[in-house]
Amino acid sequence: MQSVSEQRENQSPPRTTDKPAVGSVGSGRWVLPPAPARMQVIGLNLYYGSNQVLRNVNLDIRDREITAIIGPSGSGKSALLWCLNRLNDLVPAARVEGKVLLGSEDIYAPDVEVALLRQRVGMVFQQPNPFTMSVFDNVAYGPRQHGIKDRRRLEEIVEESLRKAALWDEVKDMLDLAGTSLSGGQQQRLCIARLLAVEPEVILMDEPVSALDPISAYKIEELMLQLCNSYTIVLVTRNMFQASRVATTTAVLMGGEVIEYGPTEQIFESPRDERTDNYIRGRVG
Amino acid sequence: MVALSDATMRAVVICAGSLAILFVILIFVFLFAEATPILKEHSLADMFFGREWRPTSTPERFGLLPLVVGSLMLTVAASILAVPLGLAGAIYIAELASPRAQAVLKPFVELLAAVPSVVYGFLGLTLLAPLVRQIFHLPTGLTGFTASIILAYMALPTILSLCDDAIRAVPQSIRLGSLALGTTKWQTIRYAVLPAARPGIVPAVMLGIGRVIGETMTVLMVAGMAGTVPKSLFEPMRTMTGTIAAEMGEAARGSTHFHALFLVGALLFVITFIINAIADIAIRRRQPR
Repeated sequence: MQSVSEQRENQSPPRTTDKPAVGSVGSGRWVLPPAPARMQVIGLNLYYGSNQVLRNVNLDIRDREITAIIGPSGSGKSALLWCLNRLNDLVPAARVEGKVLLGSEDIYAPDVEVALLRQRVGMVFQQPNPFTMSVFDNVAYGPRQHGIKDRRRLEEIVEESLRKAALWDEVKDMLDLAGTSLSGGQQQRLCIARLLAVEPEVILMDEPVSALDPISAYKIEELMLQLCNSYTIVLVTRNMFQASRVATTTAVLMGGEVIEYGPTEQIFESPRDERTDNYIRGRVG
Repeated sequence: MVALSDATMRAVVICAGSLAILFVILIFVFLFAEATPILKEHSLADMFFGREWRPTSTPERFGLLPLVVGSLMLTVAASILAVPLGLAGAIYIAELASPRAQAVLKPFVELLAAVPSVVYGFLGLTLLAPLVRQIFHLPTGLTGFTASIILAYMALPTILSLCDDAIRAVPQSIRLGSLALGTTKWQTIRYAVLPAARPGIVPAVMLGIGRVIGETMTVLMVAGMAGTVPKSLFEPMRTMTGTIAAEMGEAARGSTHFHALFLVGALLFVITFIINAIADIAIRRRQPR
């Protein structure tokens, strides 16, 4: 398996195009090459009751790349992520203004079926949350709920998903064991496999490794780099090094506002906003 | 000092634990010791397959079948009513009700559990029994059906309240994990939350059923206490508990009748024990390792 840094180079093509992507900040040497946006956040405001959590957020989530959202605690990173698959619908008194496009559809349009949306935009959480059932049933859960009954087909899906999540070799002889009996890092990869089994287009990751030990975290980072060849990934993290290792594009969120958005190198090497500079150098946040 | 108090606590806890076990064993021994003398006069087979319980007629008959069948029919019927209703109610309160509705419903349900059984018996006797008699055109309203409705009503708060606790104890992350896979709220409850709550739901149901089997006063008042094997739920029937309660005061100490009642008690003990064991196995078996 390639190291993270080698893969990193494969992942980021040279940025020479001068046409900025829609919604990107600024112009000049560091602009994003044009790439189709899988999701677009347009003028998004989020309120919890009378408390405004997100302020006029505009963001492109580029197809089959990793977009990182970084920022200090309480800056609204997770809230923004939860807007992308409407998990915020579950928060009482949450109110959303603006648009979030998936392809060309507004996911907040009144006729959207939220369950179908969440099949296309799945989520991995901070704490691994396998169901209280066997490894096999965990992965087969989504396909079963979406109507696949045939045992052979389910076995295929489970194996394929576990392979994609780089977990198959570790669990292939213990598919009947409880998902919760795996180690933390394995549980998180199980949750990723469970998600891949429903064939999402976008994978939202809410600090997916912050509860894991460094080696498990490293494995998941490697996995993310592999997955972004076929999936669009949005990563929320407080770990700036992680963002710089895996993300092509990075958005910096502060006080509910996107203060900087662009190629990851630009954010880390020559940020435009003084607040980004301070945050990255550890002076705030 | 710390070491001493640790040792003391350990001793106290071990004593308390052993006493609990000892009491159960003593009750068991006492029941069987008092029950065995009857075997000198009546064979076990005669009693277990005896279809009549007539302790005061001559010759006296101690057929256990009416009691056992009565108890089991009532228990099964009451469980069929109470378990689905209790579970559905718990799902509603824990997952669907608004916080305000929750705040009203949960204490109300728990209040129902505190109503003395004699009050339920009274309600059954005066309100439900006449109604059952009229609706089904029966000679008497004091039937197994009437009793099972009242018993179900009594078991309901226990089942509902404990199932609600079990469902609520399921971490929110399980629900989020399921919803994030694009399942509906109902799918999430049925296939992710309920399996996770299962270790709490099974004991809740068993406690409810235990309350039904052990309930004495209500069945004494509304079940009709017939001495023959019931052919349907709409006949008067007699239970093991009700029989002991009604007749223990009249049976002369040391008489055959007295020992027969102890045999009924021992049987009740064994049945309860078996049900508990089944519940225990059910909890363990369905959990993946």
